Amino acid sequence: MAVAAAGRSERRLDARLLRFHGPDEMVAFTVETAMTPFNLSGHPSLCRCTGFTPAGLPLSWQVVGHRFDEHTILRLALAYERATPWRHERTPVR
Amino acid sequence: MTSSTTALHHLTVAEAGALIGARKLSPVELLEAIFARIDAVDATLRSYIEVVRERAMKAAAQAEAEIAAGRWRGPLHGVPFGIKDNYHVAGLRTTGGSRLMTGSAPQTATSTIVARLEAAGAVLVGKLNTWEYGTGNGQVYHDLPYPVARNPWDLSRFTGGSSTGAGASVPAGTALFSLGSDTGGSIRLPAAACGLQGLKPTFGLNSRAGCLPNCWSLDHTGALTWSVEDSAIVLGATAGYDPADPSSARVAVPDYRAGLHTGVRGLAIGIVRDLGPEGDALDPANRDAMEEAARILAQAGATIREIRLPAPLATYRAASWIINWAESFSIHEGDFMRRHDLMGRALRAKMMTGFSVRGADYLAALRMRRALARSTDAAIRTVDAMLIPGAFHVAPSLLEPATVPAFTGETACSVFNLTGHPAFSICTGFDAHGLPLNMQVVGRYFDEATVFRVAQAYEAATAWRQNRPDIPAHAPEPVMPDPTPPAIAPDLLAEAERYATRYGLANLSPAMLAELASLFDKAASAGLSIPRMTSKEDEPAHVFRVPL
Repeated sequence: MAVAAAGRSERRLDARLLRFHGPDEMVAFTVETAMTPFNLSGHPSLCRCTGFTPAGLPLSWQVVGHRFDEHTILRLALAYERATPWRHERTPVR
Repeated sequence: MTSSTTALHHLTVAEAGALIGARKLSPVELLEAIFARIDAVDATLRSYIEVVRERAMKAAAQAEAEIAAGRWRGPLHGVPFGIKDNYHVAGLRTTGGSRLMTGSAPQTATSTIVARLEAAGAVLVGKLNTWEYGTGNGQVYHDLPYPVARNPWDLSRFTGGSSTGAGASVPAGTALFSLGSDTGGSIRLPAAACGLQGLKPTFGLNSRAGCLPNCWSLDHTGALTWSVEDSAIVLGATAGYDPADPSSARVAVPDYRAGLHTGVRGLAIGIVRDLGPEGDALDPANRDAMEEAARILAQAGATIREIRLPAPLATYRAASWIINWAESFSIHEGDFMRRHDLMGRALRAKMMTGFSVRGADYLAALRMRRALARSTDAAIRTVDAMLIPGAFHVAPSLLEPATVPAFTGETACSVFNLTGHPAFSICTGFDAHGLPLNMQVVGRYFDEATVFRVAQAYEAATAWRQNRPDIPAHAPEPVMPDPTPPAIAPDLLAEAERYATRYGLANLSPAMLAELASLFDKAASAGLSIPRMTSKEDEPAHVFRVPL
């Protein structure tokens, strides 16, 4: 079994963020995550693209599995990927 | 073997086991002799915190019935033993020698090695005296709930810590063997001070599950015995993999008695004479006795070769203390922050030192530990076994309290807590005042068999095991250590106070603040003295493994 864990909340993910609006926003992007629980616990965690904001910036969540059960999280992520169009387009560099 | 004149309470484990196995001695009769001995001497000696008479008598009667029915379990069946009061036993209270635990509920599970001894038929007599939580700052302040155990060879003297009752009991005959625990010498120091054979086995050989922790990285469990053979018998029962202890090693346990008497002919035995500047503190009597031991082993056919440790003693000590202070603080942090008034001064002082250790220094110590373990192992693997001083001094006098911390601190014991090698403190005779001398026999990882073989050859060639102490009826009152707080420079005092307040330790008494300031300084000095790795990639400090 695999579970999905939130990456950044939609509300906070802002197109301005990656435009270097200020060091605080950069730090907030780095710190305000749910990544470290799985560094600490050692569980496999796959961070994947879950679409784009209106401004065209990628969204994400994590798929986390049992220890050494990478197979199940890849299966889950693949099923999601096939059911969504996000891999179909490349974002042009602006 | 047993002379007909040996008092029952002075039988060795091997002797008692053989007599019981041959149905020439009843476990009940032997236990009654131990009780009589406790009644005769222990009001003065203070080896026990609690004697569990009914429980013990039930076990002895059961042993007797089993043996009568032809179900002899082996050499420990019916043999009475005591355990330091940091081992849990289901149904019994563990106090850790601490006011913090004197009213605690009975334990619900038994520590692995005690359970193994009981499964081998040994009869638990009681819980033995200890320094509070098996640790402290090396001094005895006479402020614990149980008066300090006395040295059977001279009641005005200390037994060595922290397994104080384990050291006092076996020479006095209040137990035939005892269990202690050893983080920086706490099995070997009481063995040295009390004329016993005390083994700190290889890290991971004896389970620590169900023994109160003092320092996860350095704690070892093991026995103090009268003879080398007794140590081999007890280790045979306690050693081996235990899934309940994450540090437990998956190794086969050999029959330690099998090659015990095969002698040392052809063995290469190292002798460590140079311990760096710290080695100068070694008592000449201990130095001479170790040289004499080397001569005896050479006469028995061993080749003696001088070898050196890869680092001065000071490096081992600094790394060992930093790890010990920091981990011990982590274990007792809650009690220290909220109830330090219930702690004795020795434990409180250690907590204040641990409170002051920097994370970077702790990690430097862990990395240094791995580096020292590897390089020390390389030195030890050039020989079959090694002789090295243990406690530098004989048992200190409780009438001269300033000598007590020197006994505790000036040793080469913590080297092998850090490296994990088996280290056996053995009695090498007596000084001019009749006080036991000692050295350590150290071996390769998991090669306790060779350590025993060397120690046995020495023991058999000397007459020391024929001495037993005469225990007077009265012990002199101890002299209290000087309670005057250390003089501290005002800026250091202010620095320590700011640090203490920042981390939640407010409103300390002036005396406690002065002590904290001196220990803050001590922790910083020790931490900064640990040599750093030359490469960033050297010695990963922690290895986290999955599965857990």
